[in-house]
Amino acid sequence: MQADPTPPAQGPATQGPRAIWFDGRSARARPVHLSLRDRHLLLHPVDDCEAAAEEGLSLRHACRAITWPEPARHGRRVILLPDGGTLQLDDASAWDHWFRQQGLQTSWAARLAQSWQKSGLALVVLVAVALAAWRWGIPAAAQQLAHWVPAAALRSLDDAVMSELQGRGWLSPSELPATTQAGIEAALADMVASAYARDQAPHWRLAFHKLPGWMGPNAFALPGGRIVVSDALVGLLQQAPGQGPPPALLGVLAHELGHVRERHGVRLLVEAGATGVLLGWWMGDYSVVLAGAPAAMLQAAYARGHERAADAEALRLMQAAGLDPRAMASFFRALQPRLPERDGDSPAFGLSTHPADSERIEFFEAAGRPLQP
Amino acid sequence: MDKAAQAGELSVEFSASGSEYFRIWIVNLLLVVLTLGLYLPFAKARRLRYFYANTQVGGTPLAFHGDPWRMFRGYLVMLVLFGSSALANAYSAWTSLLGLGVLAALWPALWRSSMRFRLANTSWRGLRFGFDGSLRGAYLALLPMFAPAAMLLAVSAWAMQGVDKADPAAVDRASQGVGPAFLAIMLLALLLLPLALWLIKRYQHDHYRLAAQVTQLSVGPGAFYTLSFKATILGLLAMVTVLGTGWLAASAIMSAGRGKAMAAGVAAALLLTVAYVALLSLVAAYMAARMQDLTWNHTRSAALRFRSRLSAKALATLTIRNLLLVVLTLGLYRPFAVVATHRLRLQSTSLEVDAEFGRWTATPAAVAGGASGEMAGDFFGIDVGL
Repeated sequence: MQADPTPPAQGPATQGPRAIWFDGRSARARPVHLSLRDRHLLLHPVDDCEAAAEEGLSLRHACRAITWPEPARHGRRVILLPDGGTLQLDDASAWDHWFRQQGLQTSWAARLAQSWQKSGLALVVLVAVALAAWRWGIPAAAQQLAHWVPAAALRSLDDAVMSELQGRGWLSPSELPATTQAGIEAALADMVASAYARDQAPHWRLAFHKLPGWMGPNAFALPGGRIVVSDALVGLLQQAPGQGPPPALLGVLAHELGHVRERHGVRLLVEAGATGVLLGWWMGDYSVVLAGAPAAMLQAAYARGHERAADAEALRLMQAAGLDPRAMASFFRALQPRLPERDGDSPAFGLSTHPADSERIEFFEAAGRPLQP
Repeated sequence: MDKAAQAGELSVEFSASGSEYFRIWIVNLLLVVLTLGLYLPFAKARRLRYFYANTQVGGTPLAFHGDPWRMFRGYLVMLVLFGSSALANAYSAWTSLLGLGVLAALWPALWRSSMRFRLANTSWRGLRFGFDGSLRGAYLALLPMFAPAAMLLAVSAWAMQGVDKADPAAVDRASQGVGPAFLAIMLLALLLLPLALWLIKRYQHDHYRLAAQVTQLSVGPGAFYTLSFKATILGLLAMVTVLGTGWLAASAIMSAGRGKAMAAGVAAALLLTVAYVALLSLVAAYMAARMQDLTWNHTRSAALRFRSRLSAKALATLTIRNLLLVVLTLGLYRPFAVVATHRLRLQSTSLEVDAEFGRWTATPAAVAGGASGEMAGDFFGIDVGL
């Protein structure tokens, strides 16, 4: 800023603090006394006041153009002058005392960091912000983003995933009779029609396939509405002769439809990306591997939340279609012995992407139980 | 005369405390989060001022003169640059390539201006440091880093010429054809890595300036090759150790039977991953310590000589200790770790001055670089070493 070249008031200023002045032009150290007048800091060189003025150096600086040192227990206090010079203060406590006496203040951020209480409070607020972001912020942002993605883009994504699966040889043509397939499709269409208003229903399309054995009885939804149903799943839930498809199968499809409707696929992608980036930033300069483990746990927690939401949607659809939700509970029970690695009640190290089976059985049982016997 | 300004050996002291920096760091972090990142340059200026006030060379601290508002402008420029590159990335493969190309083309210039800004805003005894490296020099120094990437792109573009993208078999055939070429380029990049490192260090250490003193690096690429070779051997040893232990553990678990195999397997994998991370950190610490000694012991100007006696063992021990405490405190130990590492690295150095430096004067018009480079340097973690 502006530096006034006129020399300051003559005479010793014994009351001001001492400092070592580096003028910014030479490495010479000069002892000075400091004083304050009219919101300007004045420098009083101890030995050669005139010499400094002759060199054209400013001995008077406007306070607002000066960067004051932040109080700290360690390190030297250094005042940054607007002309590039510095003042080194060797007696920190004398300086702090004088500075306060003059009614001057450092930045509020610096004052926050000075006290353990206030910086402790900063830590508490930071943790609260992080938890809120994880619990509400990221899921809400993911939901918003997911609804901006055009449906056509999601459908072409489905096509890409299907051809990728096909390429790996995981999708063989279904061996189910065409009538069975058509029956399931018609029943699901009825269910959708009874549960949703005409323009509220999500776009869906069933694809029956024979999946490799390790996938077990399975159904999964792709983001654009393609729902892949394995022959093994239809086989597990045998259709009683002369009746429509079993309620449990429709429940499973309704669950997948819930994923499609809520766009869980895209949301999980955004949620996983956001937690990954944030944790990578927090721990990443130490180790990518160390940041990866908590990220996987947080992502699994989001996935479990989506499964619960899809279960709730399945329940709603089943009730709208007049089906007994307890069929789902029996289905999960029937599933357990077929998947030995599925250790019902202990999500492995918090990394499981689905809620425990017992919790889901309880959910559908409770919904099916009449309130007044 | 000024007794402190006599010729002789100047010690480097670092007096910051972890607990004090923790408070500055946590307040900075909160403000950065609450302002959605806009406070970052101000946080950076405060952090640098604290670190500089605690870095005393011959009893006089360094001072950081960077104007946070100028750094803020540079930061906005960087945000726009990286933001548009990210947008280009989302749009299509061609725009993504274009965005990456623009970023790569600008990168050496940003790197140089980051060093210029940082040094021009650092002073000791009132004298500003400077960085005199030319723009052309920056591009030449980074050439071996960029050349292999450009070659990979060129080869794949050439191979895909006239190939029907819709036909997966044709694409497969074309990519198999360039396989050996890719491998050769990767190998070349690996062989060039020590040279690339040397070129970067030489560009930096040949152009540091204080008053009329301009430093020079007096070591050739040979020493960089020797050091890289040793670090590679150590890294391979670490990998073999972990893989061997993993193989032994796997066979032991298999023979123990199915009962607890799953839990034991997960636990063993976890332990081995941690061991691998720890061993790699040790190798990285060894490399960092030797590199600091190698470069600074060979850096000098007419009247200045640097000395670095950084013990690889001490740095490795500290690195493991920091890693452990950072994990145990879920990251809250980070500011303590930064201060401890800084202290060890700085306090193992000293300066020897052959002249009475109290009479040194600043060169006229110490040139100031743009603030945008400074923030760019931090974006990718490339910063002036030491």
